Amino acid sequence: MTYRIPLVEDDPVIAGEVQHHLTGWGYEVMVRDGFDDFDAEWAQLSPHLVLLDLMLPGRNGYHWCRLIRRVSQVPILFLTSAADNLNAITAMAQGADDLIAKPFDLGVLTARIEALLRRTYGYAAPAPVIAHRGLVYDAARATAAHGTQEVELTRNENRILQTLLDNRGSIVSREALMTALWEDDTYVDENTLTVNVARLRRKLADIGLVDLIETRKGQGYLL
Amino acid sequence: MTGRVFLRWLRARLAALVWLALAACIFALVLHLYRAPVQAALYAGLICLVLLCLAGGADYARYLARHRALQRLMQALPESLTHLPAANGLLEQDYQQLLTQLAQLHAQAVTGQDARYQRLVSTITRWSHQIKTPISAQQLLLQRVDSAQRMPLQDELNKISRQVDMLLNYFKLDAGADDFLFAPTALKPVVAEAVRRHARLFVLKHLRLTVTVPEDVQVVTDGKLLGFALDQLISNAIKYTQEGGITIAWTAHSRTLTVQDTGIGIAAQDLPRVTEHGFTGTTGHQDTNATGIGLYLCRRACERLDITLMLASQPGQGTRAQLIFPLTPQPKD
Repeated sequence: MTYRIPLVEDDPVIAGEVQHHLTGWGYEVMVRDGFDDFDAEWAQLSPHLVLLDLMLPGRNGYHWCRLIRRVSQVPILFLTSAADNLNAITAMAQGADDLIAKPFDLGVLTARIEALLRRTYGYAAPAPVIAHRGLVYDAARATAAHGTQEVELTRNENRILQTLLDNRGSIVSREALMTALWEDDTYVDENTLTVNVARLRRKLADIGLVDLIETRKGQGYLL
Repeated sequence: MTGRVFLRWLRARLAALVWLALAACIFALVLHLYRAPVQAALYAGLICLVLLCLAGGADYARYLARHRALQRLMQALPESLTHLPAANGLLEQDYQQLLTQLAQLHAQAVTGQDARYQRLVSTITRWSHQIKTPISAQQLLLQRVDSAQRMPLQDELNKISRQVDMLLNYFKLDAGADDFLFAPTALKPVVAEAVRRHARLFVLKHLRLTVTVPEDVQVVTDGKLLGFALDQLISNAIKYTQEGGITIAWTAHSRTLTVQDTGIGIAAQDLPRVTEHGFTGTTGHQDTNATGIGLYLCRRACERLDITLMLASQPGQGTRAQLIFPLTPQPKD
């Protein structure tokens, strides 16, 4: 099963990039900038979570939030460039579950979506899984698998692997990895990063994925 | 005080007094030439003098009372202009009209300025929100770029984004916006989020960071504005620290959050002035990017949050900023 997430957003670039990223993480994202016939379209979408922009042409995000709440209890996540207190309170009062300020980081958005889905549907529901060159990565459970073998990842290893997968096919600099860890409230230094990457490599090698993470001297890592 | 008023009154009546003296002299001369009895002249003169003194005394009392009434009106401008004392004569009436018209012109000008300022604030607020859409779009587009190329672009975008936030908060604080929300707030997440916004800079400069804020610390504050104030302190700490690191620590007994760095510090003569609007330092900080706004906004935000901001520095050793939280918070309007 795939989680269906409508994204109500009028900026084509933002909508396109969010859709691209979330699709890469195994979600089904449908972009629109509003609803013509809400009831019919809602039934057809039958979403698991809704991403709502606040300022839209025509009716604003609050309006759609109210309509959704009349028929459904799905998690609603607001995306807004005016994330001041007033808007946050209004959004929550209309039944929103969370609010992300623009500009946002796609990693942060994914993490919030995962948290909301987990809170609503529990761990039992299938979590989005990424398969890449034999590696099957489960973000919600923080595990890496290959064939029948599976390893659990520590928080840092999980964040490193997630960042590498986010950029799969392109080089990720050590600084970018460190920044990702810092953004996860782990204030690591160069040495710690080296140790963490080495441990992650060993774990992947243990399940038969030898040299999955390539080192590019002076540039970073590639997965 | 009263003596000076008396002299001023005397000077105002000088012309009349001179005329009276002249008239007395003419009378004395003519009566003398007609050989009138000195006694009679003196008697008439004495009566006149007594009456003059009585009339003069009454006039002075009125003069003093009026002077004091006007002085009192000056304390209550501009409302007092609507109840000026009854005009005494045509000229006073003219002056009063001048004043009233001036007050009206002034009121119109102030109202006009206020309206213009409110328009400016709302335009800037709307603009700040609008500009975030292309910034967000750019940010998302960047995540597709190779990380080696992405990072410098990302850094510049972050700078733009932070400048927009500074502008928005500048006007929010300046216009006395009231959408700040005081509520019991966990301190740790506010600190963590502020650090997250600077993660990249910490990594780039290889700075250490130690955060010792217990999870259970709660403060009554506006989390967003506090985060903004912390942004300024952390950003400055990173900017002026080349080696070593930054410590963010909570001291429970004094309810103090300390941001300490091992940077170049602030010269003693600059320290009292660094939170002034537009102050960029006299020595040491050879930074052309300094706008002199960051610490000013930090101070304004702290004032709004009823937090005492204390700065101490040892040039060459580092700077310590302390945010002292109130025991019973009293948000200011």
